[in-house]
Amino acid sequence: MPYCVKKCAYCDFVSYTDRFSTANEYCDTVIDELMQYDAHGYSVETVFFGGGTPSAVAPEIIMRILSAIGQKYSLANNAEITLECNPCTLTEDKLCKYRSYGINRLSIGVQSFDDNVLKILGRVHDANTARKSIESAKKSGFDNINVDLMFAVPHQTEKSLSDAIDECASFGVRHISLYSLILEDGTRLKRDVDCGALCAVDDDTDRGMYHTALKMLKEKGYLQYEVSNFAKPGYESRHNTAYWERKEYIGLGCAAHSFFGNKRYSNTEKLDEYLNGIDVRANMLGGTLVDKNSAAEEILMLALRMNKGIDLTRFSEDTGFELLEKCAGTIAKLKSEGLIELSCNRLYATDKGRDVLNYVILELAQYF
Amino acid sequence: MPVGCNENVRNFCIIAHIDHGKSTLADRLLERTGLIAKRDMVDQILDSMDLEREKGITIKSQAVRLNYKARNGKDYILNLIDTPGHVDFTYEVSRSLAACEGALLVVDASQGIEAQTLANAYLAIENNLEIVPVINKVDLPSAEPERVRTEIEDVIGLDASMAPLISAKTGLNIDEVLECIVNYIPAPSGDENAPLRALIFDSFYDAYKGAIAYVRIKDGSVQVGDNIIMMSNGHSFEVTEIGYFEPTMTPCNVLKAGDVGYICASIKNVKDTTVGDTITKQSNKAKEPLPGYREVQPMVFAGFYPADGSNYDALRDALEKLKLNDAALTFEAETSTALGFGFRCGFLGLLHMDIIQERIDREFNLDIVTTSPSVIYKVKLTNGNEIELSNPTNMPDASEIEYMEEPIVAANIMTPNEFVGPIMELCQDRRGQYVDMEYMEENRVILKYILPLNEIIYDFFDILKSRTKGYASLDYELHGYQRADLVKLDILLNGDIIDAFSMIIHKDKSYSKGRFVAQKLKEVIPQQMFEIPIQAAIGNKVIARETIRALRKDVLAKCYGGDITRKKKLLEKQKEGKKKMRQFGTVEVPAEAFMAVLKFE
Repeated sequence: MPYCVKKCAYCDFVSYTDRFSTANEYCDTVIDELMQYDAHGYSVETVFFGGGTPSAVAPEIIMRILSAIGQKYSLANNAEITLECNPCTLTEDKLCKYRSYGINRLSIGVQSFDDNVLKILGRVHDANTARKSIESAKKSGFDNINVDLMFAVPHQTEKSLSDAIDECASFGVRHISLYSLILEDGTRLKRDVDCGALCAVDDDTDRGMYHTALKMLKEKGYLQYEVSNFAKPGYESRHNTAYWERKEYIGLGCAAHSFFGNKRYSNTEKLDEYLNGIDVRANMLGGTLVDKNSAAEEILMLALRMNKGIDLTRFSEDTGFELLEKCAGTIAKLKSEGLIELSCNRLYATDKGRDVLNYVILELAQYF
Repeated sequence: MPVGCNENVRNFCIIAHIDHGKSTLADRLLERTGLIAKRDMVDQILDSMDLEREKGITIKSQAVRLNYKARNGKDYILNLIDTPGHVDFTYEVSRSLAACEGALLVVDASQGIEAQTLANAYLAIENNLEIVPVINKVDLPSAEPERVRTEIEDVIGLDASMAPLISAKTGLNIDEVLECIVNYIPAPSGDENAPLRALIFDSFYDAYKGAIAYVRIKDGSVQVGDNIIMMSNGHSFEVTEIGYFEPTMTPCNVLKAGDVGYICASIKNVKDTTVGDTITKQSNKAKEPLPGYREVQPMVFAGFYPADGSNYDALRDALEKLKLNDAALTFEAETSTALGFGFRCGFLGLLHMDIIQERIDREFNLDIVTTSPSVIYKVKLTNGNEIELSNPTNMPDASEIEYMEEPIVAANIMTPNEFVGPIMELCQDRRGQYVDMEYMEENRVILKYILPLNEIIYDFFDILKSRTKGYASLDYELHGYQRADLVKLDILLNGDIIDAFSMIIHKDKSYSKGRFVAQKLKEVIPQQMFEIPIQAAIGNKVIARETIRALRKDVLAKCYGGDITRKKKLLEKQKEGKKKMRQFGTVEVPAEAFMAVLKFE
């Protein structure tokens, strides 16, 4: 859903603030795109409405898409159906409708309960609106709620972060995504930092906050399962895990990415172009086939993000390479540096390794 | 077209400040005389190397023959000789000029006379050329052709009353230029019956025909089957083909006094077709060679190493191929503990080095690492011996050195007098000795300085240009050696000397340079899992220190909603970068670090 009420200061995703009038037409195009796929033999395990801001458009649009998916594919009984939402746009009416459509997981873009931080991030909501939205969601019967939080935001204190985690825990949210702010090119925040109006958080402070958070989250029963993701047992996001495990997924909509038939391909980022219609077959033909070496790289960069790391048997099945043999020297070095561990036929990054995961990935990826 | 009919031949070149439209005018002349159809035109056809087109400079000179029917009804042969345009190649320019009787002096109608215009005009006057001013770019709104016409007369002292007002871009008045060439540039003189004397003003290597000399026949004539002699070294060859460029090679029967063309004689080595040399005939030898020959001496040396060590043989092939076309390039194998196997190469100057480096990159697709450029020092040892030194690694221990000498140059810097202050400051900063200042006219001067060569090889020319808004021009020649207090500056990473960073430098400059290099390396060497000390040292004395802190955070917080292509592209880029890393002990150094430390200021 490439629509937002306002562009956040740190966001470089595709989103439009002045095109809400095209939402119905957009919905038609998404459904048309969906219908072009061959559904034979597939059932859908997870659905994720991402953005933009899916909660910013009329709930009926979400319903139409969801029922189209239901018509086209068999939706698994226990399918995880997530909707990303923004605290400002959540109303009790919408929440009730979402429930009735079968949406069973909400991901709320809270980012912080500190009004100063929210202002710097350019969010439209304040802390109280965020609190109310979580309460309403719970009241409407949502049990599986994720809250997005950010840290390493200019002027953010460690206390502001630990307070946010405390609040999430006391609300009883089941899942927390905790992202270190990335200053993306072309964003307002990046420009503010580049021109000196804001001071970027240094790496030491960033890691200080991260490790404090890791400790707190653990104490409160949120188990880390990925670099930035923490959940009460059983509440890990199945949808995101599918990305990291390189399962197949179909991305529908403007700027959506897909991994299907061992090909990676994506849709146009231009809304008007998308509204003119999508030719899935042509799109797939233009995609990139993932060869063995590329698959090896993907596993390294995706699976190592997860605490459970790489399944070595699956690695050799998917790529034809024996990771331990191929990278023996480097693995020994990384182990001696305390960055990776090996056990139960899995290779995974340590806490220390996850701090410098790009380095670990690059060291291993040079063999492929 | 009759060949060698002197009355109807004109030999000329085009001289101009950079960007004043020299190459565009050449294109237009080629087009107007029907040599190149408009549809076949690549912009700036004489600058055939991509590099030349991009840098807007001419590196290798070329010559083309144009056929022109003048308004007086007669047919003329116009030989256009292109000239290189940089201080590294001043000698080549002077030889090209020596092959002509006249020059078109192109001046931009809005910029007016600039440094190079003047330097080149004087060079042309020294060579007794008839100069025809041409005022270009008159189609631009900012053009002031009449002001520029007066300027040419006042500053250079040329009669500019007949100067055509043209636009090389649109083709306006190109015929006037052709008429001026015919009417104002004298026909070549020279005795067709005298012994052959042919001036080599350029050469290139052809895989089938061998080294080919571009020549201007000053006296006599040459034809296929003649036995010729290179007067500088006495080597003799049998002529297999002669001809001219139209602009491709067009064979002919004879080249006579006054003609411009080429000679092939199965010459295997481009060294036998040295620019400035005179060709004569075995059977009827000329008594004296033409004046002005100079042996080409590389003045700047640097190590070239393949960024990927497995490309050593490919780099040698590349250097060998480039050398076929470039008599000034020298190289020999050397090894570095830091960089492995590579070559010590000699160049005319830093631009020459840049060009070779870029050609290796573009034409052979090889990434290379270069070490700090050096000049040749003379080292007097305490045991009485003297050695020559162009590689800092070979510098003997300070205790074995009696004294050292460095090469110096006599430099002439021409400038409008308002820039005298900044230039003197620059020369002083570069350890220059002031010699003299002469007024050429009311507001232009020549500053004469003796400067150490190693102070001007890096960036002197660039800084001179920037401090004088491009108005100053520089010319220099070697002026022997003089004693200097020189030291070897070493750079240590994690406690180990990295020989490829070592440089010989004046003691007074060693501290600031050491600090600069340490800081620069701190910027370009990526953080690693451990702390890396960087030290600059003279002998055992550390004079500067920086520390690269250990890597604390390098992780992407988010993989963007199923879009893993972004991260994948980044990884591919990092892998490419990693391939170009050099491993020194446990420290990895990117190839660009070696270039980064060269650029001082």
